[in-house]
Amino acid sequence: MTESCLTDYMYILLFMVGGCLAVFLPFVIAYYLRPKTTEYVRSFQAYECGVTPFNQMWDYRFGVSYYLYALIFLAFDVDVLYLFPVATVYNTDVVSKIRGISELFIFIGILSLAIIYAWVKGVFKWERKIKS
Amino acid sequence: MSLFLPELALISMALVFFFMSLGKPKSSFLQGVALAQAAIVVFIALFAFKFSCNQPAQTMFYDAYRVDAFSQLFKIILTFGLFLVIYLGAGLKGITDNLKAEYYMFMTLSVLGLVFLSSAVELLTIVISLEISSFALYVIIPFRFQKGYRKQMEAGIKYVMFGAMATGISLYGMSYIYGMAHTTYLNELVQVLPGMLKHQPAIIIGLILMMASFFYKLAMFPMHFWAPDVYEGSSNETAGFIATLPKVGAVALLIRLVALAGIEINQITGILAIFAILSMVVGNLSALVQDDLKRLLAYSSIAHAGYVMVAILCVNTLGFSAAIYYIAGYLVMNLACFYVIYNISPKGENVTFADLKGLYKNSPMLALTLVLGAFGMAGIPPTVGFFGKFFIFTAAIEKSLYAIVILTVINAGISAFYYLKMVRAAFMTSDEESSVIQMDLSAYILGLILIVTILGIGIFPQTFMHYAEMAAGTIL
Repeated sequence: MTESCLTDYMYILLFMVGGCLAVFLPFVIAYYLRPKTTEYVRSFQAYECGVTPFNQMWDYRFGVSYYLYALIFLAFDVDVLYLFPVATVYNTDVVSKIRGISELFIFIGILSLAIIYAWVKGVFKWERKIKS
Repeated sequence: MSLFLPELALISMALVFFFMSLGKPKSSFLQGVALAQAAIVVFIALFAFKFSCNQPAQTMFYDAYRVDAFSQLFKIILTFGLFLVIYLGAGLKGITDNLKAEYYMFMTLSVLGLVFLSSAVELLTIVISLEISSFALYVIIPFRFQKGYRKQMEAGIKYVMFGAMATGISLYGMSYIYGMAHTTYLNELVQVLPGMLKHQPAIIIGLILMMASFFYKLAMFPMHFWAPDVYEGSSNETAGFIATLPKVGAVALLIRLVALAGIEINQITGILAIFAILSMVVGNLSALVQDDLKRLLAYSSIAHAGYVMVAILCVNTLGFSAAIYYIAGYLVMNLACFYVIYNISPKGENVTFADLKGLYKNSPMLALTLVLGAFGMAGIPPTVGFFGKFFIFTAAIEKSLYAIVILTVINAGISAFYYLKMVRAAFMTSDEESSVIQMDLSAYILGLILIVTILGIGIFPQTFMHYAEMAAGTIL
């Protein structure tokens, strides 16, 4: 009992060592294989080519419209998450086909009211929401 | 199907307001629709209570949802409270104009969450119902509109942040309970918890932590600090809502949770007693120095949470039914005070003691309602508040918790000071010439309804107590 337990742990150790190697070996290999590069000022910036960046991100304001789009997107993004539980029990002895599909449609239906609300309130009309 | 009828009625009410929010309905039309629907919901809740009155409890949704006399009684109180709050906020003076339909919708959704809460008997269902009711409230606090007034944002943010923290603590406590008892169903927990309490102290920590978010809703001692700021920042009608209905839901759930620990006096009783007494002391002493009426009512609600907790921690039928009776009475008395506040302020601004001066001359009706509300909360005889306290003391003495009774009586004495201060302010003559407060007929009728309810349940408590005892009987 204890021996077989220990051998099982040995497998885990083996896998851990293998996993570490698989992650870090490429770094080591890449270090030796890579061409030597010269470093200059722009090497440490996010984009090495193109227009020289200036100032910081939080100096700028974005239109609030982006934010509203993101919110609407989020509602449907999270909604997909809640479809998985339905999919796992769908057509089992707990939840029948009819019930599963109808509950799914009720759920999506109520969620799409969010889109209707946003639509009617003019979120999808692209215009300046803040007068500067 | 008929078991779920009150909830379905509330859902359809919320949907109606959703579709109304798409158009631009008139304020008076909205109010009429809201009142009519709320009245229908109250009747459905009454019907549902009658239906499940002498029936054994029935469960739905894989045993996560329990419909019994207890939950149905709370549904009546909650829907009646919704009706009164909608009636009270005639015209929604303090709310941004183009958000009135949404305001009613979120109010309905919040009550829907509380109605779910009163029936929920599974930990995750409890959390979800609580969150439904809280999220709707977080949204409606910043709806306040008053030129140059910005405190509603602060109030809204505070309510969200502290609420999230309370829910987090609660979930952490639930993880303890699930880890030790291996179930989330209350009817299974009640069989194992009393035994575990004797051997595993960690379950005490779990239970108390789990109750944290209900303490938060009830504004009880360790979780009370949000109440004054939120009441002050939210508009008068919203404050009237926050001050009453979530507390009814929290009491319903606390009764169910405390019943889990078993009927004997144990460590849980001790901890709850300390919370209850500190809640009364903190609430009453802070209320003494308040000038803003809403802040005063906030501290007084902290104190009342303590009184209700004394009833709950008795864990007997009388204690539970006293808690139900008291919280129902508190709902009406508090709404009476908010009715006065709402009608005194012409543009929905906050009311101070100075605004009360000369009220008896400007509007005798408001003065009378204020007197009854304040007398009720102070616990002066013919009102519902007196019998509420009377039943609480009887229940506590039955369990021989004499020390708690003595401390509660002292606190009730302290609280009488600031309630009577309100009455005194209303009956003082003001120096300057003040105008008569204009109220339309429906506002008068609401005042009459409140007065009759406060006196009616107060003078004839036995009918309500009979139903409350029957409801409490289904828990124990």
